[in-house]
Amino acid sequence: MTFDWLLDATVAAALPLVAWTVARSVALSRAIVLFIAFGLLSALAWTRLGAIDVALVEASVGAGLSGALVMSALSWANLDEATVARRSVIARAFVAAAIALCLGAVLLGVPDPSEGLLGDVSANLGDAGVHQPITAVLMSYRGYDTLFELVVLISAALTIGAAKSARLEARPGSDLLRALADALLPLCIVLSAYFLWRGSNAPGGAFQGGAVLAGGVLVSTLAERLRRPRLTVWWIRAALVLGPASFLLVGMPRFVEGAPFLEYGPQSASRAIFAIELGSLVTIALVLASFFPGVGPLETAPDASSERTRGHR
Amino acid sequence: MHQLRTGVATFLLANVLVGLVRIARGPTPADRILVTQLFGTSAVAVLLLLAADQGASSIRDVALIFALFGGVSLLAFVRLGPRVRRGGR
Amino acid sequence: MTVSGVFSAGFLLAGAFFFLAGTVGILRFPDIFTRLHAVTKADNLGLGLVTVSLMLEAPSYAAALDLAIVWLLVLLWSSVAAQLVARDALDRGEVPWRGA
Repeated sequence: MTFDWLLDATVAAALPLVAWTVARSVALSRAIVLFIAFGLLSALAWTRLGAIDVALVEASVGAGLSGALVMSALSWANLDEATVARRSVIARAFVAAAIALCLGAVLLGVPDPSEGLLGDVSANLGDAGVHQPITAVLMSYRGYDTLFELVVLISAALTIGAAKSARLEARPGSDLLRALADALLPLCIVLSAYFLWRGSNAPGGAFQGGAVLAGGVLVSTLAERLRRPRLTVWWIRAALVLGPASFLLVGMPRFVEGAPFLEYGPQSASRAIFAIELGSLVTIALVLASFFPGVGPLETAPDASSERTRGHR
Repeated sequence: MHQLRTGVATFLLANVLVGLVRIARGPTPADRILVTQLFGTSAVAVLLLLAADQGASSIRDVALIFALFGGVSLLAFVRLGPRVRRGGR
Repeated sequence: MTVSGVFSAGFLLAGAFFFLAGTVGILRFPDIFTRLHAVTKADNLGLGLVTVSLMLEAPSYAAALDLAIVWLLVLLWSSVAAQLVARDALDRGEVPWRGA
């Protein structure tokens, strides 16, 4: 029995165990922390499965940003120790068993080994303009898909901007927090550019870079070094649509000439993809950063913009 | 050497799972959130160990992400977490 | 095994020990402040020793630098995080343990 097997077995056993503890936690703070732990374990599982791109996103968005988001939601509930109601055990056990049976049937029915489309993807990578198969799939083989996903993300940001008031109160930030934010934000900018650049040849790309940049913006917002990105500012709106805009900018010239929309052509493919990824990175970073509430001082006066501030209820 | 690294990685993972007990016990939310710090650092260690294998250097990027984001939920807890009155739990 | 291999293995096991010490501290120490102390030992020394071990075996100087940067980032975060949680706990009214 090698340690590789033992490591994989531990991860595989821990995942459902931690998920179960999340579901059965009565105290919300406990459920949230276990949820973050589950995200970490998932990232580890994806790494062991060889899906590094997914592991990158799971680590940044699934464990990091989602954890922070759920934690801020706990504040929204404004309960000392928020709890969840208990429901019937039998009903839940039945649903869980039904889902497990269906999933098991599907998984066991997949032919083994199944290569999927890996062969076709690898064969055509030369024309795609990038060497990383995931990026090629996202930006080249299924570019329309990515374009519309960005539109969906933007509509999510718009919905959040419309639906909730934007600020939570907190004690004044300390010098320590400001020092952390001042150290982290430039680092996050550099690292997001690094991931963007790496996306052509190795795991990385626009989404990972955008998530890293959003993390830097979030830390700066929590430290009150930056205002939360608000849609009332015109250039925030312009930056928000930079992703789909770059798709259009890249795809239109050839479309006007009669080629299919978003056909890059082998010579300019890598430059086109990089331009689109750059725009997408800005969009993704802004969308993710807009999910979080801003932080304001405890004594608030109404400010010039139209956003409402919410006090202790 | 690969076996030793993978063995230590498994040990660190088991370490993390044992640390889950503190999340169960609490008693305060702060006790729970500090366990995520242990998780994050252990995850970085495990990933760095896995990245030392041949051809697995991109795993180091995942470790970098964990190092970057390890404290973000803790920061959110401190700044935005459950509002508790002074003197209470 | 080469000399650097022996050292590398030694550092690795020492790092694992500090991680274990961190978990034992988290589980056994009496209050939040002492537990924070335990966690940061795992962060600094545990990961530090593991990083040194990997740097000894690193395929290139760039890879070794990569490892060092990851460790420094964790150091940055864990020191700030420990301070923040401790201050927050004090603000919430936690009283440090004063036992025998």
